[in-house]
Amino acid sequence: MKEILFFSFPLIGAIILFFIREEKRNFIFNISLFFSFIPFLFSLYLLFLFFANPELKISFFSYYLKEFKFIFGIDSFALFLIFLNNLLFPVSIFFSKDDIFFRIKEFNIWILLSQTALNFLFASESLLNFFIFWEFSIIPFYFLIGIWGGERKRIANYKFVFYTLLSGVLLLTGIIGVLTGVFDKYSKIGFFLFLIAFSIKVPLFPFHTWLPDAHTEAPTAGSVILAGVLLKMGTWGFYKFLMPLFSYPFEVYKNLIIFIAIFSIFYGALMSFAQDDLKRLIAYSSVSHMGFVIMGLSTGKISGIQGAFFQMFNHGIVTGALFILVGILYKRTHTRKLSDYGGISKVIPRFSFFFILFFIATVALPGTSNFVGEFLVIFSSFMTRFKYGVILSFAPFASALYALKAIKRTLWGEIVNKNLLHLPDIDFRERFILAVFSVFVFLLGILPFPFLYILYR
Amino acid sequence: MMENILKIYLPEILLTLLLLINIFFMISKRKKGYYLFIIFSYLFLIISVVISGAEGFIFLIDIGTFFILYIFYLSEKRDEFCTTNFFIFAHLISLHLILKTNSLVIFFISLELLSFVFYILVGLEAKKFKDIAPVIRYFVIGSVSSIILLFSIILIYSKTQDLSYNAFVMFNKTDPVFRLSFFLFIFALGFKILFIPFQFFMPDVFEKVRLQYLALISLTPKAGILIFLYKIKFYLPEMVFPLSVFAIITLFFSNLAGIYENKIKRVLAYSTISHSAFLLFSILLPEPYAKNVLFYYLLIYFIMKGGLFLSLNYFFNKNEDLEFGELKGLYFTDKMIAISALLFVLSLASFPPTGGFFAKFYLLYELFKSGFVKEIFILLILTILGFGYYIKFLNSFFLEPARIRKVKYTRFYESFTLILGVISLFGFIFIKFFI
Repeated sequence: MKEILFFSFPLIGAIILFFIREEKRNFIFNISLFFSFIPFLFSLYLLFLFFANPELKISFFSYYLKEFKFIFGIDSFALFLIFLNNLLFPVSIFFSKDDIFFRIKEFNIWILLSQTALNFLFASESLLNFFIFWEFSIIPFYFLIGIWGGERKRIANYKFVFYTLLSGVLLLTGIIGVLTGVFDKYSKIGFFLFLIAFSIKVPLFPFHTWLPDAHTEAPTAGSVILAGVLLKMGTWGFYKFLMPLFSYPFEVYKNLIIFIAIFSIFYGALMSFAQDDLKRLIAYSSVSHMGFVIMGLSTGKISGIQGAFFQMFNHGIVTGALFILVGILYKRTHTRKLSDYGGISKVIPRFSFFFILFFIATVALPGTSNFVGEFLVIFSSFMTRFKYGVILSFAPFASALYALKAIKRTLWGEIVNKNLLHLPDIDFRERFILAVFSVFVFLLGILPFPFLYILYR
Repeated sequence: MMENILKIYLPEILLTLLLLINIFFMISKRKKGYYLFIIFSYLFLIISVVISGAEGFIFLIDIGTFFILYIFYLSEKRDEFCTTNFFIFAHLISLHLILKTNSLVIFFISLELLSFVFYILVGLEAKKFKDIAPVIRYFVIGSVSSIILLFSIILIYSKTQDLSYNAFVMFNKTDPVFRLSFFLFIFALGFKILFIPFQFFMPDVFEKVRLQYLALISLTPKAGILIFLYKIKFYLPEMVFPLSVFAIITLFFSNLAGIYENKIKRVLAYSTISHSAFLLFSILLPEPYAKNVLFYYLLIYFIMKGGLFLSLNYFFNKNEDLEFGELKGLYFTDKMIAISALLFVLSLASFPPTGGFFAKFYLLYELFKSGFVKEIFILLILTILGFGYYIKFLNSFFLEPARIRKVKYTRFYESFTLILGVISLFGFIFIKFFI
């Protein structure tokens, strides 16, 4: 039961915040950070428990109401995502202290509620509670985008809400079908309902159109969490429920999923290359990276699944860091257009260092965590079918296109925009956040084995 | 025998007495002791319902009415409270009779009494001709549907020589007269539960009605008619299919039309129509699920819809034609009311983990078990459409800057509304008693 307490800490924080006056800005952020950080420490403790025993499985809550089951538990895979969740939320709150200046209390309340919901979502062992937290996660993000979002926040919000609601409807139909026994492991209808529902959330082509808008219009913290954690809801559902529940149609339509995943990888990368808005560029790169995750899972090989989970974690860290970098830049220049930049490496070298580092990580350069994830996925693709492996081997080149474009157009060249001449470099807070992310990029890139070990089940 | 009848109809006898006492208050214009009279009336009513051994549905209707009465009490037009209460007693008598009777004639008379109450209530506030036009339309179409209903009952009687519900069972189903009477019966009831095409003019009527009356119309009579349909299903199972088709079409059009509405009352009307259609699906279920689901859904519906009326009550006292734009930034002026409204709206939109979600989930789950797979899918897709108008509440209350002035609520009012909001949020707790 201690798991419930620790995962609910953000909820307790949200309730406390409700009674604090809006004027106490620093106090609100500190309280929020504290209650968000406790679950991180707890998940770190759990991580060490799992290092010691990867076979460990913690079931911490179960309740049966006739045929309805509410079961929560953690295995090593769930822990990977819970750890990511509890890492990204405190970081986002810490960053937002210098980014959010109005309705601070509400902002923190929604962030904390979201963290709680996502903790319990990844710990969901049964369909009904998984769905409850799946749908609930829309509400905080509806407010985060709607209140603190950019100029086109309303359209982005509508798209986000309706796509997610659609995925919810499909998922709910599928879940009721499974619970009533109408959809069994051979059911193609059930399989497609789950598949489309999760594909919307991942998102896979052609259900991805909500993502660039939502990512672009969300505040920085929202974008970090959206890319870092929210997209993993889809891949987690894919792994946790779709694959075991519909094992037969999954085998039958495996090639179709692989085709869509490969298409998403290249489509996402090329679309990213075509963008002029830095946030949209990163958003489209997410489509590409999530394609890798689905590819890894679809192979059904251990290395593929390990790679997929590694890639989920990497994507959360690297894309989160990139969104923070864009947020830092936007805070100073109020523009995200690539055409407004150029040559800023001479003005803000520390920023440029991190900018290059994280973009290089997205290309999966050896030594970075993405390399391990993508290598494992490509390896398992070769094991599945040689041609899949060959095609996928070109994916890092596609990633290099947008990464190099972003680096070149932002950092190199001559400074055309005179406003950029006096840009302040990143401060201590920003450096600290980016350093934390960098540690994970290199730690998982150079020493992946302990993590792969706990994912070897 | 007599004792038995007295016991069974004790609540209705008591209600008639209360109605007469209320008339005394109306004539004498006495105010002293009136509120005490109301509280005791409902207390005795509940006790009499328990003594009479009436089913839970009647209990639910009575409690629901008392809750609506509380909304009336909070309205600023307290001078009319006595008159309003007269109509509420009359509506309760008719609803009690509808739910207890086994006779088509008593059903018809009770339904007419109920309609009569509403004709008066919807027209009570109309001052200009422009306002009264939809009410007249409501009255004319209502009268036509009553005639049709009466005609269908006459047809049934002419063939079976029976005026109880058993007449439906005795009827030869292949008989063209039965088909005609069946069609007319469904058609007439369609008006009462606002099925397509009757739902199109209802928002016009609702728009002109005082919010408190709208609360009354949206809750208890709707529930009463649905419970009646649930009962008649045992005698007339043929009606299940056409009603379900009507329900889906109604849901589609009402949810679609609601998206383009800016007047809050009209949106509330569409929301009522949409939930009625959902509620109707619970009737299609086999026993005991139909009863359980209907009861649970109605209970949650009363809480969430009544709660939303309660949270919006004060704003409509100032302006009866309120639009979403006029409630912009409610969160900044009245935090507790806005949060309560958020909980009610989320529940009405069936967002988990609210009670509204569990009510719909339970309904869909049982429907799925009974083989209504395609219907469920359609219903769920239509739910998304419905969210198109619920989102307007959230947009204007939370996302827009403040445009309204602070209303002075009492601490009790705010707390009561918030508690109700929390109950609607944790409405799943009640499901335990209905599974």
